[in-house]
This record gives sequence, structure tokens and C-alpha cells, in this order.
Amino acid sequence: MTHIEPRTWERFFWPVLVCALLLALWHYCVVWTATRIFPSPLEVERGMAELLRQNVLWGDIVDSLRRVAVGFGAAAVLGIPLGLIFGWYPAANQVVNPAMQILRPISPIAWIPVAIIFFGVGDNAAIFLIFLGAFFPIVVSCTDGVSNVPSVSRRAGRNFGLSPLQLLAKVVFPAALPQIIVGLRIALGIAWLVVVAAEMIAVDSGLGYLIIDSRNSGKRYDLVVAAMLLIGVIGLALDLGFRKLERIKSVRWGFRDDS
Amino acid sequence: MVGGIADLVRHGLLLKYVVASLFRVTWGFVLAVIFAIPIGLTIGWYRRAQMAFNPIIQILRPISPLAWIPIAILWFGVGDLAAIFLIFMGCFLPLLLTAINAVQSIPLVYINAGRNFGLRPAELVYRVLYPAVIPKLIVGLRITLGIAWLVVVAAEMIAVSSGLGFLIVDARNAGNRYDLVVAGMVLIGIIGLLLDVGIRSLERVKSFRWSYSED
Repeated sequence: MTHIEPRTWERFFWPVLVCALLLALWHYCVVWTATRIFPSPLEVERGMAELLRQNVLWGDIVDSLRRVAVGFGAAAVLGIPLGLIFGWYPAANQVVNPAMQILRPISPIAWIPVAIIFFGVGDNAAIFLIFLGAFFPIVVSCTDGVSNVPSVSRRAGRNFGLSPLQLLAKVVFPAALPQIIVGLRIALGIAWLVVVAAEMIAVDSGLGYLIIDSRNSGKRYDLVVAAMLLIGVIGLALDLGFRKLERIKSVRWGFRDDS
Repeated sequence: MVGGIADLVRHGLLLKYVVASLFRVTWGFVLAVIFAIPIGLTIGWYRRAQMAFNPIIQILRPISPLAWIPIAILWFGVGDLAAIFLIFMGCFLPLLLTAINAVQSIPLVYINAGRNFGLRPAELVYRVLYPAVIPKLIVGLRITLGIAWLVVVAAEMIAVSSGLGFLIVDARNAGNRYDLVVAGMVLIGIIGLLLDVGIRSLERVKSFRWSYSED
């Protein structure tokens, strides 16, 4: 809340300074404690370079992204219409809501045994877990989005003689879209969290597997940390990509308050 | 499934596992609250601090708390501490972000008004900042408690040998008792729901409510 606007150079200077300080702290902690197991930043960087050279990394990244894309896509395809229906018919929402509230806090990871009986160990189990992780947030945000549409807009639509389907397509959906997109963004973040966990247990490729595998086969903690940083960077890129969507003009009209 | 639950209750295991899970969630969550909220409020208050820390927070945030499992086991061994560390990691960054956002969204008018009335910094914090951020913090706490409950189950499936997550994995590995698996999942769901309802009741406390005036 300091009132002086930061200058342009500060925008780069401070983050770089803090990053450098933290890296130095990390490096010297490793040096001081004389640990053999935990890697220093330089070792992590070398580990990352090694991964890049071996070309396994791209396969793992592509596998993880593919699982997220399929699981998240399925959750969006099923979740958005369901959420719209629940928002549109409050009675339906009241029927389903208690069951949803009980299913929602169950960790997608807790479904692992069930996923494995249904789908065996493999891609489908991981995709199912991601689907479950992303599905509930999407449904809830769609339901909220629709029920928050001001009734003025609906009545105006009716007065112009729109049929219920037209009303849904031309008024309700666009008005709810901003909230739906926020829900999708949150769900994508969750999907990215779940894929890593699922890959640590249920399959043998992908970034999560890379972490577990580098630990189990020879305590390569430099690769563990390198993989974690990669997961962070890719997750950030996904989030930024989605934020771009929020800024598209035709999506924006529902963001009334904060333009 | 009902038979499965009755079995567990009779052996006294169920209560033990529920308590073990809740114990870990409580410690991990409380530690995260103690560290994240003051740090977050401080970072949010200073524009430059926020600029400085933002990139790191954004990179660390998408890392699944479970990806920390190898490191948690390396540092703390297999046991309660590792699970608590994972829950802490899962809660810390979301809470930190909530606290930062909460401070930044205080209308400047409030702060200027407080200053005009000649409040000293300590009074300003206590009488203006604290009440203004509380509603947002409570929403953040609720979301984070949900995350903690998700993480504890996963952590218990890997890092310890008690708790509801362990119950699920153990029931499957020791003889494919899928009735117990499903019973464990339903219990997790119900307890998660109760936690959520409990923390929602905080939102209704009178002294927290004043900045909800807009809705």
C-alpha cells in the first residue's frame, strides 16, 4: 500500500534479487549441512540438462499433458451441460446437491483402488482420476454461474419472445461464461495436481512417474527436484494460457464489476 | 459396505484411523495458518515485496503437494511428520496468496480514513486492516482446509501406516476388501463435508460479518 508507483527497473530487479537470494540460501544450506543426498541448485541444473539430452523428458511431458487434456476435456464436456441444467432447474440441484457435497471432499487419489479395478493399471485409470478431480469444480461453478445470472436479463430475454433454448444459448450461457471460465481454470489447476499424484501410483510414464522413478532407482534427488520445477513451470504456463481466455473480448461482457 | 464399517468399529480401528487423520490435518493446517497469514499480510502490504515474491509463488504453486513426497520422506522419514509436512506444503501457498490478495483488496479509502483519524500503525492494523481482511481470509481458510483433507488421504496412502488413506490402500492390498475401500471413501467424504460445514459456521459469526455489507 505504499503510494509511490514502482519504477520499471524495479519490476525486474526485485524478483531477480529474491530468486538469487533463495538460490544462494539453498546452495549454502546444502554446503553447510554437507548432505550427500539433497542436491544443490547446480546439480539440479545439471540433472535437468541430462534429462533434456536423453529425450525421455519430452515423452514424459507429452504423456502427462495428454492425460490432463483427455481427462479435463471429458470433465468439461460432461460437467458444463450438467452444471447448466442444475443451475437452470433449482429443483434438480436440490435433489443432487447432497450427494455432490459428500462426493466432492473425497480426494481423487482415494479413488485409485477403484480406478484400478475399473480400468486396470494404465492410462485410463489416470485419466479417470483426473476426470474426477476436475468434474466437481466445473459442475459447481457452472451451477453457480447460471443461478447468479440476474433475473432482469432472463426476463428481458423472455419479453423479446425467446424460446427456452434460445434463452439458454443467447442470454444465460454468455452471462454465466465468465464464472464458468474461472471454474475451468481452477479445475485445470486441480487436474495438473492430480495427474502428478496419479502418475506416482497408477502408471509408468509421465512427470509424476519421473519423480518416483528417479527416487527409487538410485536416489537421484537432483532429478526429483528438476522434475518438480518442471511441473511448476508447466502448470504456470497452463494457467497463463487459460487467463488469456478470460481477456478475449466476447467473453468479457459478463465481467461487469471490474473492468 | 455397512458390514465392513461395523467390522472396523468393532475392532476399534475406525476411531483410531479417523483420529490419526484429523491429528495430521490439524497440525499441518494450523502450522500453515500460523506461517502463511502473517507473511502473506506483510507481503501484501508492500507493493515491492509482492512484486519480488510473485514469480516464485507462481512457479511453486502448481507443484502437487504429493510431488514433495520423496523430499518429505528424505527429511522426516516415514511417519507422522512427513504427512504433516505434505499437508503444510499443500496449505501454505494457497493461504499465502489469499492473505496477499486480501490486503491488496482493502479499499484505500479505509486506510486513508484511518490515518486521518490519527491512528497509530498498531491501531491501524488492529482496527482497520484486521477486520477488513477477515472475510476473505475465512473463505481462503475454508478452501485450504478442503485441500488439506484431500492431501492427507493421499499422503497416508504412501507415507504412513495409519489413517483413512492407509485404510483404503490396506483394505485393497490385504485381500481385496473392496467393501472397506468404499466404506473408507464414504467416511472421507462425510468427514470432509463436516469440516466444511464447521468452518462455514465461522462465516456467520457476527463480529466477522461487517464487511459483507455489499451483498
